[in-house]
Amino acid sequence: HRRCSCSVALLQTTVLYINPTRLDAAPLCTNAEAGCHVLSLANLFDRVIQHSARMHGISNDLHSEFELYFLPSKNQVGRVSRNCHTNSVSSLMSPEAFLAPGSAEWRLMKDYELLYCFRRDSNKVQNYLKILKCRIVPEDGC
Amino acid sequence: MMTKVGEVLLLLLLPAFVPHTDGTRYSLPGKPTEIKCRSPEKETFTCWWKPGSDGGLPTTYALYYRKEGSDVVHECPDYHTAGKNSCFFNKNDTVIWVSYNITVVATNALGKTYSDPVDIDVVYIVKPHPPEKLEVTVMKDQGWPFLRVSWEPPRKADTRSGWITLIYELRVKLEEEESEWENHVAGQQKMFNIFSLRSGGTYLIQVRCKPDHGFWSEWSSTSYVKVPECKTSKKCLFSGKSDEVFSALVVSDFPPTTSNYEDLLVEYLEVYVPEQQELMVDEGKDHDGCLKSIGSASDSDSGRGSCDSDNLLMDKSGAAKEEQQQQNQEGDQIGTETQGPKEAWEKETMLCANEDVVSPDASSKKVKTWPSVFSPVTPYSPSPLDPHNSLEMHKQNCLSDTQFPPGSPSSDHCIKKALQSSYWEVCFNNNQPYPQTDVHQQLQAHSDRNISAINDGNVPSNLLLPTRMTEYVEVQRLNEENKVLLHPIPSGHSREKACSWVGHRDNYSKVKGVNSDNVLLLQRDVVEEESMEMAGAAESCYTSSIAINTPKPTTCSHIALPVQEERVLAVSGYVDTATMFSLDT
Repeated sequence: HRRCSCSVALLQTTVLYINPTRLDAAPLCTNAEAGCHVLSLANLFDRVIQHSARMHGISNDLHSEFELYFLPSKNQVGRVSRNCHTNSVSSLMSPEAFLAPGSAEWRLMKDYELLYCFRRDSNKVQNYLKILKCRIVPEDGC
Repeated sequence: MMTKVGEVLLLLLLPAFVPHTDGTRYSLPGKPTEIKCRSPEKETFTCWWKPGSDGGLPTTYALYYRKEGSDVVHECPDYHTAGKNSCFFNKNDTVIWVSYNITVVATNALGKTYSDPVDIDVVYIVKPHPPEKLEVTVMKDQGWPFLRVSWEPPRKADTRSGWITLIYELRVKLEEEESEWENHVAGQQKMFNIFSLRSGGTYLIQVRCKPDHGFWSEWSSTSYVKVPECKTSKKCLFSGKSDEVFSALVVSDFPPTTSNYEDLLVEYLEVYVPEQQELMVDEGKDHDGCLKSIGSASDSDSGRGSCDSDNLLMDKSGAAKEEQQQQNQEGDQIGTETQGPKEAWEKETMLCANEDVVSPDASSKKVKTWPSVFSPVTPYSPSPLDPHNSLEMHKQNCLSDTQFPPGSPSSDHCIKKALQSSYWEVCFNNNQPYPQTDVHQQLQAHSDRNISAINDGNVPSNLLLPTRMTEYVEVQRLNEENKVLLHPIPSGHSREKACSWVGHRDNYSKVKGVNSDNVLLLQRDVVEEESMEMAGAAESCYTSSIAINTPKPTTCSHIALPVQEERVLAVSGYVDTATMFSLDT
């Protein structure tokens, strides 16, 4: 049962390198060689947000195309429970329960749920990063 | 017997022939259709439906919904706020990132008819209100008038906290019969300058906005502005075609070199296009997910300064000497190799360059070259440079590696610096130096020399983009000296013979696994054919990495990368190598 941990990994990556208590610049090079520039926190946020936007764009495309080409009908969409990484509430219903595990349909629904969650998670991550940035490093864009 | 049957039949058929008192037939209500939901600020939302026929009877409508993962059916909380055939969900009833399954029911005396259910997630149905407080003023820059347009985001949209990110678009047209709207994407800016005006003309301006994943708002109310008549004969903008006006602008000392406009986020670029010289005014640096640049007055190396026409329009001979001096002063071990292999580099540049390339072509007379590309903002020009074209051109801008001695098979694998990813994520940040890794410094040092040498001094080294923009650079492989060879990320353009391109569509590295030394093994499935020059490997496996202390590659070219921490991504996780390495220390 594949889990897409991309967005979570990305978030982890960024959180590891962002220390919100320090508002000064985060050095990227340990040995202070000439020309070693230090990035500001705002700058770091910008980059991460760009990546998250890209991530979301890709996940969005994946999801749309999957829906377009692989889902014969949309009947099951509404009943799918989203066990997405970023959901805190565990859901009760799962479409896979109604399908024979291991069947082609079941796999299809698993894939669909994966892409659905990837899209949602990446959207949440992006939004979260934007809010975090505005809170920590407020500037004109906020 | 027959008569009895006949009577019964007649009785049965009678109601069909007796007309109703009002002459209509009653039926079940028609199915409600076209359920559409929109949220203006990602905090509330409204759904509207289109009623079907009422079947001749008074019909009422009800909306029911279920949230994902729950069986509980709720009814619409508010049928009135948003008007007829609508349902309004206020803040308390609106949850983001949760799927709503919505059904509308039409009921009359004969029964119910259900609509087809609709699934929505509020985050994807945002359509904001139009921007507000649109103001247009005519300003002058050394006698040339231009319009300064400014606006505010719609009141309800919370852009201050980062909850919503809006991008704006404005359109302008002359108040006359046959003029067309000219659209300009302003990114996240709330201000825009419009040049090339017709003196005496009246312009109409409107602006609209869109969240990063959502719908465009309606156009705002129109602002009218009249451009004053031109009085001086010398610098007058005659009411001709815009491109005539533009050529007039190019000849004069426009763009302004005096920076009166510190708060302007306007960047002036000049791009050399064969047969045509066009002025690009890069007004915004935004695309989806791309944030606007931070203009810093204190940054002496802001792109604006470098873009000044003074610097660009440099005399060949004069610049060459300047470049030499600049290089010699740099103080590192770059040395004076520039003159020696210069010809070889030029040759390689020619080999790598395509016809349309915006490359420092030594044979051109005066090169106003900007060897890089920015976000694809539509420039304000009558025939705007197609962003795709510029991308193509810049991708083909090929700089060879100074490490290779001339004459070596370096022409087979020259270094091409990717100046733009294929996803248009590049932002032009003014005060943003490139993330400095060891490798990149090396590359930057090389490209410094390369550009100056190849250009023959046409483009000064302070124009180098790497110091100012976010780039995605893809590593092709290591050479023998553990130097990194880069190549850009082409998407669908033809490859030159002399250079070996590895065409990828994605620049994500899949993690193959982690070996015993906590080294992250990356793997890439190459889609297109590639020429493998590393140890004659025949397999189509490929990895990318930024080398700091990597071992020599194996035959299969699986290059390993030391991972700083034990944080290992899931096996199926995808790692964007550019991210990983630019954040690594």
